[in-house]
Amino acid sequence: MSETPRLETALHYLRGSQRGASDESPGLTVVESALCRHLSIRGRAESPGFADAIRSVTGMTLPTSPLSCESSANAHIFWQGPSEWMLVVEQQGSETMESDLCKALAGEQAAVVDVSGGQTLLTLSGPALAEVLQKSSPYDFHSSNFLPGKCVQTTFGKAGALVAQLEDHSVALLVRRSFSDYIGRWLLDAAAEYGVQISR
Amino acid sequence: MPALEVNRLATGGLIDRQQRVNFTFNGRSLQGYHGDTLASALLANGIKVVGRSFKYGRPRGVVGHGSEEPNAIVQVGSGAETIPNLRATQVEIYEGLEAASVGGWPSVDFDLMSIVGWFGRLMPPGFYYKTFMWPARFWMTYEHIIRKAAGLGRAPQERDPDLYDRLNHHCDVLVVGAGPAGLSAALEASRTGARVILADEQQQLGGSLLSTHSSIGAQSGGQWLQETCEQLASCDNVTLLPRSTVFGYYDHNFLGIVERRTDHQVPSQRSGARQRLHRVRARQVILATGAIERPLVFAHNDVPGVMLASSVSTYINRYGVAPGTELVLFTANDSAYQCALDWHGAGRSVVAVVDSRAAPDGPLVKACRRAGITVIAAHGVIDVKGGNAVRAALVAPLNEEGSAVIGSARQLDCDLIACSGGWSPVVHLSSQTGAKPLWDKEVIGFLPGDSWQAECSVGAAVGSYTLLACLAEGASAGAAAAARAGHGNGESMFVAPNTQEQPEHPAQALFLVPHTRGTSRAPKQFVDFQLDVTAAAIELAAREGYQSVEHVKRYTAMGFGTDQGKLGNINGVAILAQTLGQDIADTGTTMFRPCYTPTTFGALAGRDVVDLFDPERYTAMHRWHLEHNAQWENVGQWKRPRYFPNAGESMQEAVDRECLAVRNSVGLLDASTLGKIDIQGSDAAEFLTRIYTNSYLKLAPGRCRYGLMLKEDGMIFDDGVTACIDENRYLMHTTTGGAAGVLAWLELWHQTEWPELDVYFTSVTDHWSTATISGPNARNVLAKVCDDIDLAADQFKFLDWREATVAGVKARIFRISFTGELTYEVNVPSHYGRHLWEALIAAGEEFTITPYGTETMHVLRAEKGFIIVGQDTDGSMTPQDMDMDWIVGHKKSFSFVGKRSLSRSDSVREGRKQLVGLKTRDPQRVLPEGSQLVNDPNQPLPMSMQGHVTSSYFSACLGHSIALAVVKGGLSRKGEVIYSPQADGSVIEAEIVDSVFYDAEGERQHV
Repeated sequence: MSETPRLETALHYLRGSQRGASDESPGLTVVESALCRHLSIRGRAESPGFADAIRSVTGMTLPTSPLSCESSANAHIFWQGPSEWMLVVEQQGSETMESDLCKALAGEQAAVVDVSGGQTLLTLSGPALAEVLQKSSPYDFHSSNFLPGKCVQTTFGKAGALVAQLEDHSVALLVRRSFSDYIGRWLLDAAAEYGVQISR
Repeated sequence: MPALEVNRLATGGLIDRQQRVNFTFNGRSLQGYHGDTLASALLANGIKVVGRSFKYGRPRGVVGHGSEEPNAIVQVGSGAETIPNLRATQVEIYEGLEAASVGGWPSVDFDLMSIVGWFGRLMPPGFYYKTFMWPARFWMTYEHIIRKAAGLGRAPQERDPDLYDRLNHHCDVLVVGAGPAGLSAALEASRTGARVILADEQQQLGGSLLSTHSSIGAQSGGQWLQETCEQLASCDNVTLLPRSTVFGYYDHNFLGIVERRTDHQVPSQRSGARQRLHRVRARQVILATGAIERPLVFAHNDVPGVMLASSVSTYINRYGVAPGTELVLFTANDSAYQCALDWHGAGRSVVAVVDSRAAPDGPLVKACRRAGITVIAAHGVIDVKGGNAVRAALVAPLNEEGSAVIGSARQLDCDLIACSGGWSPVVHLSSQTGAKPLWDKEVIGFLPGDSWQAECSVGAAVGSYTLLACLAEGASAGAAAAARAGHGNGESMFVAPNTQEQPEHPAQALFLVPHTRGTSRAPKQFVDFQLDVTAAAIELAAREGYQSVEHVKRYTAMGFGTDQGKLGNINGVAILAQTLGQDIADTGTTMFRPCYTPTTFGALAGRDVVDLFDPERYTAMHRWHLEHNAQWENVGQWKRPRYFPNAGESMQEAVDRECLAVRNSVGLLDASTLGKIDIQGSDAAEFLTRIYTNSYLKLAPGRCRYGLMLKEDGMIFDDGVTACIDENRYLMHTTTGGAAGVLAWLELWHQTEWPELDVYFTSVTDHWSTATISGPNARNVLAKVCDDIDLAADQFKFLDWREATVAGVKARIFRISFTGELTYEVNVPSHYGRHLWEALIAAGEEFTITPYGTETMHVLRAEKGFIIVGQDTDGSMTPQDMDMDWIVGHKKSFSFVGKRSLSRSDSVREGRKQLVGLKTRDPQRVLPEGSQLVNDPNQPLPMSMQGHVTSSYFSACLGHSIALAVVKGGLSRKGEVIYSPQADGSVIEAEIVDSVFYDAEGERQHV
């Protein structure tokens, strides 16, 4: 087989969709990231070797306080539970990250699982963002409670999603691939009154 | 020509006299002004009769001016957008509005039920229970007629074209009601920086300030209102919600608010959500819900033209409408005198104020006397003359207690009777929290009881009826609530305005105005207007033995209407207490439930409708299936292709073709939806061995094993193949529908029972897309797209798995089979799912590779006797019942979940239902799934059931029908004949056979 395998992100077919006002600056802009490497990391936060191993491979500090996330130029680590994190990193330059992590974690009680195909990362921004979140989830997304660096797993419409506030006040939405069509269409519907587009 | 607005005053009111509005009521063209409610516009037009009563079909007119209105219940709009059961007092008119009475069928003017009214004496309380319930089979007919005649509104038949949505809120302080107390509370709370929501059901904030002439310090009430609203609107931390009814108060300070966003607009100009449901989680709630004036109960008090005193004032002051010319005011308190003053001020004639008290002399009474208004003390209006409209009031002297008529009655001609029995605090929301309202003798009303929720009530809702008290209570409650929510120090910045308020004189507790005849013989004295409950009915209920107020409510239907008895309940309770010789406090009141006023289903459903009703989960190959005419099966939330019909093919033809393709050449199935769980850790094998019935301790890397999972009761819960990835890593497959439940089950056992085991579970269901190549040509297909591993039968054996490159993508290939044929399950990360699928379709072209769906998969596996958990099992089947004892590791050193239950007496008894095959005598006849099985089809009913059919298909490969069934003692009954009587009277005869119909030796999957 000489042909290059064709890769499809979860929402490839919804890219370019828009609803409501089609002016330059819609109320909500949704950007689906190019395929990232999504690694589920399990382990014991209390073990010094565990956090050290994560830092040595990713260059990032493992977020250990509940509902927090760490971001770097090309990666995020989302806290998902006392022993569970999600590392999302750009594909390019991270080809060996899974095996590097496994090596660095040798001897630790830990697990690293590649779930890149199972999720997609959406970035939401725009003036209507807060209200769209209010429509979508019962979590309190008010600026006094949902600050940059916070991430929560909650219901989104009727599906589940991880929602994180990034430093630039955009919001990262990490959704399971099989639910992404529903969430994409939910966003187009919920934000239609403000104007919404899913970037190409 | 529209009728003249005979009752519109030349000046006054908050209506916009520059903006005329045309509307129709019961087909009649009318005019009002922008700012009118339907009720105020109807009254302005002199329309008295707005509906017919529920039981007696009596003509009824507008009584109130807000959500308490029991009579003016209307259906607004037509077609798909129509809404039934709205109160005309809360409907804002707009150009082109169409409204119709809900009550009164076939028409308001000729009412069928008024004939029933003739027989009113024959319809005592409990009438419907006593009469229409028998004979039971007629109830459907009765109910249909009763609903229609009673006028319970009409739901639209069409799909609602409007948009409804939902917004979630969290706030520090939710203030319900934007009257003086609520506004003051919101203002104080907002000053602390707390997040405040202020909701009010009216179109404008202000509550009583909108309908009274008042002053606050040097300001008029209107000026204060305007300034306060502007200040609140300018605060980022305040959300103002007018036209928003807080309809439900639920646990943990969770409240539902429905906001009517476009209902008041001309339909062609509406955009966006028609109604929005606000779901509020509030740290603190302040209920400033006000009070509703209580009507007085006297004979014929339902004749159109009998209204609440405060409502008459409201129509004058807010809408510039005087609903009549000659007023008789009947009161037992001071506050209602304001109505006479307002009426007098509007230039209309006050015939008299009739006061039940012996010597009324409060400030407002004095003001009336100064204005030259006749005050008749120690009297009551005991009866009303008039049919469709009030013609006169019969006024008689009462004794000091107001319990008996002590002289002859005289007639006062009038066309409007305003009445006031005092005020009832609106305790509905407080009551919804479970707080039992408590009777207060001083207030003469029920006050909110102690609540478990973080809430308090202020203002008129706790019986504080002066403006100053409302402002002060609101302010301190606002500051205190904000402080409890973590904002401010709790001190109110409220400075009492320099306003003199002279105290009112005590009111009289008057609930039932006596008549010259006793209650049972007097003309009807209505307590609950909406459901036609009279004082006599409540007394009768008490005489019939009903003592609990809740029972009386249900027996008489008092408070059962869409108005929840907002006007009538307190009078009803008091009359019951009097009849029972109790104190009202001992009788108590009924509790209230959501919704405070009827709420549309649209608002509750929000955007969870049509294609967003429930998430549909799609595989990465979904769009290919769509393009290739897949017919769908719902499996949990997944959409799976059921079969792929060619043009003109029936389902059976398509399934036959797909089955034969797999048996004779090769087929391709999208198996991506199977649950997949990555299991890692040094104790992974041990954990699996405890969860499954069989052992995984010796499963080598590169090998797979089928497993059966039981619940503690020994019953089959899930099954699937688990592969050993490497020494400490496994991949578990679960059923599609069971995936989430199994992951939760594993976590439950790990976290609660065996936390010492080093093992982690991660769902990889969505990560891997799975294409299953099945059939004799499977290897040939795979070989065309995979050349980096040896596919030879002796190198890559049944139940092996390999990592390999397939179509240029790194893949995991499992040699497991659910069809009994040579099968490779190829897994790639889902972003390559469609690429893999299309590559396999292309590679299989020369073998006419056939995509197949779940229906074909079901047939193929049934031919092999493979069970589907949840279809052939139902949560009451052990492995032995399924003839699968071979998979139970009885000798494992550590027990496994469910083991102990397998030796329970019931698990090992004779005669349990066991899985067998059935072969019908008529090979073409397919047993319907779920069919019951009996030994003798001619036995008398009820027959002795032997079991039922769990799976049944026509097998194209075998040329006859096949079925799986569970039959009592079935495994030892092979060769016997069993019968299945069908609903159409026919009987299907079948032979009990082995559950494996095809390739019993399993040779085909081992090639």
